[in-house]
Amino acid sequence: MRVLNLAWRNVFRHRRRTLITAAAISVGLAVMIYMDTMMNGVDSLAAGNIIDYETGHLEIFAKGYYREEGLFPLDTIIENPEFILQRITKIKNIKGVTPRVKFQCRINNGIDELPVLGIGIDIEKESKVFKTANTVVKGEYLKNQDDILIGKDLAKDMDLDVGSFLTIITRDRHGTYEAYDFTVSGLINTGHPLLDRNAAVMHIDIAQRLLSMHGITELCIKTRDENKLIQLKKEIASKIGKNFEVYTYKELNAGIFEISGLKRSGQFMIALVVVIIAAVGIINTMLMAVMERIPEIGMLKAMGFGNYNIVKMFIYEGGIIGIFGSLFGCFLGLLASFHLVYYGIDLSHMLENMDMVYPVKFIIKGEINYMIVLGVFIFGVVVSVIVTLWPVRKATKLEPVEALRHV
Amino acid sequence: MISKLILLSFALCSSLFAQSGLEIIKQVDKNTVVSSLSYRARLLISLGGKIREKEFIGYTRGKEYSYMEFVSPARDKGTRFLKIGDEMWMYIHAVEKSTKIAGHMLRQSMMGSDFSYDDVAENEKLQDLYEIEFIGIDTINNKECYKLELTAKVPEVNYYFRKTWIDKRNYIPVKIELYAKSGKLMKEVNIIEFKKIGKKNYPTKIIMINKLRKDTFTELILEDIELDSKIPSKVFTKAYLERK
Repeated sequence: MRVLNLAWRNVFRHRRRTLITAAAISVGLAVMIYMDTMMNGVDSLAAGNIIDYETGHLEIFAKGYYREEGLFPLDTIIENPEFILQRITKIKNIKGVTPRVKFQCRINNGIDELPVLGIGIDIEKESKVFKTANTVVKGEYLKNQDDILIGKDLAKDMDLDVGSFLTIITRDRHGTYEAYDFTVSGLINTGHPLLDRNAAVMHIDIAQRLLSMHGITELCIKTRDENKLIQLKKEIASKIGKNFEVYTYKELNAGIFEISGLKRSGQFMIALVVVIIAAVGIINTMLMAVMERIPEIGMLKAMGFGNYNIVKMFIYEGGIIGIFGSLFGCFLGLLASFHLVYYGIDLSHMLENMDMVYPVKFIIKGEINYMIVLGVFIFGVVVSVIVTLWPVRKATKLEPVEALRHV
Repeated sequence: MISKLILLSFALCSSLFAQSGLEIIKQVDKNTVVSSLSYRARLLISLGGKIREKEFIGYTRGKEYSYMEFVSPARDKGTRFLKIGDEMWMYIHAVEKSTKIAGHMLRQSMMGSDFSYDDVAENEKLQDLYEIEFIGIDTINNKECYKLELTAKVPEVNYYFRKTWIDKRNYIPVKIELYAKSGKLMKEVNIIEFKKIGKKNYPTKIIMINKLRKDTFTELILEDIELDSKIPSKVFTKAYLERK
């Protein structure tokens, strides 16, 4: 306790120096926390977009349909969705099920043509799983048979608007060309680039007619309790038998979540560099403290203060700086994060003309992970203590007599 | 009695016409379907008033095998295509790698032209794919033509419905309209020139008009045509496609 007291007083002998050293740690940790908050926000927004517009929580395909992302084969489809629906209807954790038909096609406005993903939806069941209906920003939802919904961005690219005519060109499941005229009934703005830029949404029966088939490509499922997703997947898999396959949205978008992991480690590295710089600051401060207090240390040693206590004293000093720095860093980081949580960053202008693989757009809002904040705090303190060890070694090696004579 | 006679004569006529429709198409198939073909071709792609020219050489054997290699412009030089049955590979010289063109990509335009990959590789007998109906005699480009309507009788066709005008004198289609299943006109083919090679009249200058896009058409000109010649089997292998 006496040593701690001594360390405390030593730390505050040079307030300004202590402050600057601690501030360096603070900034490093604040950056770490802020980045984590942002990444959490981006991830949950991406996951949210995928769940709300693209796949739902789970998707059921015919066996062999899902081979890789971006391939939409029509030779392995669910010919009889009723069969599956009957079997899974009693599962409690399912909130909604809706069929979709996805196919590759080209959208044509009479002048230009672009490849897009055709999505046939069942407008009655769709709202039980997806939020598509709520995102119509202009015009209205699908009503007539030849109505089509396109994204706001695609409309801009193709120079289309509500009421415009367009042609969808595709091939049916046998390879025969099909071209069909649609009227744009509404523009959607979901925040998911796939829907806003690269897709055309139509009635499922029209999609089936275009493709000369009666089946569907997938059944999308929304769950009540996302934490039990894996159990639900197993339950469904056991009921529908071996001719069908179930995937979670994470499995279906492994690429995207992999990118997210990479980004995280990248950002962690940046933050680590900041912390290393801060650590060098601590080493510097502690080294200075040792050099400046050589006669003092000699005195302490001469009075019977053992090496053990000297080490303890400096570690306490490092620790105190670390704790203050980390506390302040966490405070700063949280403050910045709260701003991100409540206001967010508006990226819509920055990303307007970018083709993003990552399924997010617009305002990115943060999500604070308090366990990470705690971890970062402990990390800050531990780093501060560890880097003190090297300067301290110098102090322990001092001979009391030599030290006393040191000017 | 008279009405019955008229009815009978109508029935007779239509069956006669149906017969002759098939006969006409058989003649056309004799001209355009070849056991093998080698050629040098020029593609003139016209888009909104601008014309780009590309040149390639090609070999076709039966309906199963086809090979194409672009020789100009420099940007496309060394781009090769190999089609075996329903599968197609593309080799890009700059990348030195071949990639398989999946089924859905076969429908896409070849090198930016209005021909799709399988429009170019098409070499199947129309009589095997379509139900043929004789419509009448029509005059196109001052040529007297048989007008036929072809409706797919098997599911695996590129175009569900075709209208075709066939020159009475030489059994060469003058104009072909290609329709989607919905009945929408997608492409119009005009055969401007042909050449007599052996017993066959083979089209040598073809204009493909994309009816779904404004101001876009592609002219395909075939030169140095050799029909029914022997093409070494090695041409239709992946090893040949990927040769350095």
